[in-house]
Amino acid sequence: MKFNKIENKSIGETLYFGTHESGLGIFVVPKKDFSKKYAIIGAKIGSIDNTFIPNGENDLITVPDGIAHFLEHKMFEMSDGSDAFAKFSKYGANANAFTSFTNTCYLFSCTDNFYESFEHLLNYVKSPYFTDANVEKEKGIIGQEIRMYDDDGEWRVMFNLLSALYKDFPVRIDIAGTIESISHIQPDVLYKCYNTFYDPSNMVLCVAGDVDEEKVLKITDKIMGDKITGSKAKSVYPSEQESVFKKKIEQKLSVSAPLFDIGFKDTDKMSGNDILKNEIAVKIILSSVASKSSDLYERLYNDGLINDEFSYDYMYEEEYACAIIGGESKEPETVYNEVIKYFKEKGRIDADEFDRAKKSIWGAYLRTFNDVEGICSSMVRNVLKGVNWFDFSSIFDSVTLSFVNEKYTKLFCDDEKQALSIVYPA
Amino acid sequence: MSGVKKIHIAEGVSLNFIDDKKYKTVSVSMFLSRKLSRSEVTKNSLLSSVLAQGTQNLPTAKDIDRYLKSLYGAAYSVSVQKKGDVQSIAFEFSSLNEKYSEKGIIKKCFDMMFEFIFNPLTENGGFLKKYVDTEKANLETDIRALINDKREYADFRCVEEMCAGESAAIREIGYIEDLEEINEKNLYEHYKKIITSSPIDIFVVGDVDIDETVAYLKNAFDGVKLDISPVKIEIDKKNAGEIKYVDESLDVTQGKLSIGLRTGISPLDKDYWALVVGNSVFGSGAHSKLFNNVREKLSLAYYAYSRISRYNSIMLIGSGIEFENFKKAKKEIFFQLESVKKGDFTENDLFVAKQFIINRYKSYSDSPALLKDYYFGNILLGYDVSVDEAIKKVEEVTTEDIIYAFCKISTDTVYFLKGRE
Repeated sequence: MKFNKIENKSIGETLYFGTHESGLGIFVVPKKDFSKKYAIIGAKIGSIDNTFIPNGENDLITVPDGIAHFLEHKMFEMSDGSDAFAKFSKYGANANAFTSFTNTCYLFSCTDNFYESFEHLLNYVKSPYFTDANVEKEKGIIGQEIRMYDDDGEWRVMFNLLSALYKDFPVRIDIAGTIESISHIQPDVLYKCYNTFYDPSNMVLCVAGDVDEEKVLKITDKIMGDKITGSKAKSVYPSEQESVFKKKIEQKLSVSAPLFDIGFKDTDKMSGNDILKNEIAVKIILSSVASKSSDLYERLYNDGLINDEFSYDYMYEEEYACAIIGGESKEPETVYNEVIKYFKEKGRIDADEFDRAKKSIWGAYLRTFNDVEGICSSMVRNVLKGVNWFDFSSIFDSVTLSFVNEKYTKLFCDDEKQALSIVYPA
Repeated sequence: MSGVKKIHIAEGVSLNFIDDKKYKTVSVSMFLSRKLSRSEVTKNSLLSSVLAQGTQNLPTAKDIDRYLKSLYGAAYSVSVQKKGDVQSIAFEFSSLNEKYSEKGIIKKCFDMMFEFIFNPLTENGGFLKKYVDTEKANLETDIRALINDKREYADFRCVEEMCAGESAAIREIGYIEDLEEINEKNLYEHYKKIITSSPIDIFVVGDVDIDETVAYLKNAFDGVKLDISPVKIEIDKKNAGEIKYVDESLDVTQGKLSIGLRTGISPLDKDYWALVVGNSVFGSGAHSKLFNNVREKLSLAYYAYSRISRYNSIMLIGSGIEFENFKKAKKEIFFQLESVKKGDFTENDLFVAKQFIINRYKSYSDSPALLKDYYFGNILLGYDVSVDEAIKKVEEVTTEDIIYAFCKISTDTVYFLKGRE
């Protein structure tokens, strides 16, 4: 493979990228003056990938909820009985991994011994080793991880919201599954997931720091050279209705005040750079309506209905998308009604709001280049969903006020697409 | 490794400049430091949120937020933090530097910061009543919300039980029972007192014209009547008595075990570096004994860690477990602690533990926030160990040093947060 090179002078960054013979996408951003080096390899398998045709088979299977996350834990198991952390520790590297709804990522950062650590990263992600004993052992650990989140009000209010927004789509299921669902996980089904989704053609590698891209490539050749490119993994997702599943969902937990999340279900079909375009449009709207800049925020805050916790979030993926406004309030239902009413009465974003929001989003984009971790995590997340992250500025420029306002009407003014999740104090 | 240049601005006011052009941003913090005291902790906390609500020129939070967005989403905050027995009010901003935004943006941010510090919104010789009342209510909510994060809550409750009457037990966020006494008038009086009597340390990290910045800062403090006496962290090396056991019940599904220990070692002691490395062997990171035994070997927990502070002589051990595993987890944790005390770890364990810390220290030079925090800590501790020197000290630690340091550690309090019966 030969690297392509893009130099973006206006932001002062350079990118080397290419698709390796194994099918692996490689992205390297050199940062000469930084001490820290960062590498992350992501596979397009997340908690939503629970129904698929295993590589080499013909029939669809459905796997236990939480398996992608379980697999992530078990990838640290080495065939010599050690765990993958041990070698990283020896190199002074700090390793970690995480599973989201749509992907699983393995990463490390270090200041010394980068190439040794990098080789180890590729090596362990390439070498699964699952046994009955090591799979059984993990159930206790993940069981405690699940319990930890069960007691976390902010986590619960968000996952409950997703289960209200979506009727069938698996984003409504907790990433780690349940203690019951993971009890069914066995080595054979882990191997099926691995062999299907950890094909290099289903993976992306990003590196940033004071590193030599050619050396990165050489090590990739050495480790991934014998990984045969299989057919691209394909999950099957259930079709999802346009309207929300439930308008409201409630739970009681040990929290000090009611927590709420208001969700808006975006059912527009999008792929590639369009996902980012839509995400930016939604960010502009939320940053104008649900931030301290807005009249709504000011009024609710002065009335004592919200506090500093009031904020927004969004999830933009090829398979699903939604916007969320959440916070803490003694009267979450009132806040919900006020927010919905405000969206309707306001009707659109004006040119001043649009300009301000765009300026601050541009600033936030540039800030991601302030550290090696920011660069790699934005890159891998976007590339895995089909967005070319280095096209950010042209995608950003393509977001016009009229595009934003089209989104505004469709997403934020439709009663069928809104749901409310509340966690009340027990 | 970036060095810090210290520049005198006024009596009791200094600028600490870290010149690094690699960032897209300029990060600025201005710390006003106070001796942490139970009698003013709530006032300081409330003050930080009242000051963030508005200034003469930007009278509402909405005006401020709109202005910040127009400055390419510059970040601005006023907050309180605690290091040992010192509480600091931090005025901070971070902006894109001029190369990536527009000329004059940094000056605009500095202007705004000084607006917040010296030009707050007032009426009838006090702060705005409306703002003070709203922020009092919000602070009360925030204090009640401490219970929401069970892990932090358990750790804090453990320290509170262990260090009753000591500064370590004082919460920097403040106390609900103090709020009633505070009003817009006495809070404003408090503000006037502290703004001129607290040492001020300003940190600037990034690509700025330093001569211009110094001239600007000198001018900003010109004519301000300051009467500042220095504030330093004092470390109380108390010994533990008999082990105290505390249980608390809440509606939770996972138990939180939190163990407080006295290290008998101050960060200024020679033994401190052995404590740092020993803690890495014991419970900090995926290489540690707690991770590998409590989690990996016995599958008792998803997390199990120990941590020490640079600003007091306390060690905290935390883990989330099934209620019925309390005894089992506690036994294993103490067994691992004893094994460190006995020097029951290999040369490789020691090497790995050091690498972990050294990597972290070396990473500081890529983070404006960590650099500021480290060097501000140095100022408050009154010592002068650069990050490079810290690395050297870590490298020199031997197994014997760790045994010696760890033998000073004694268990004080075992706290367990459990479900309701």
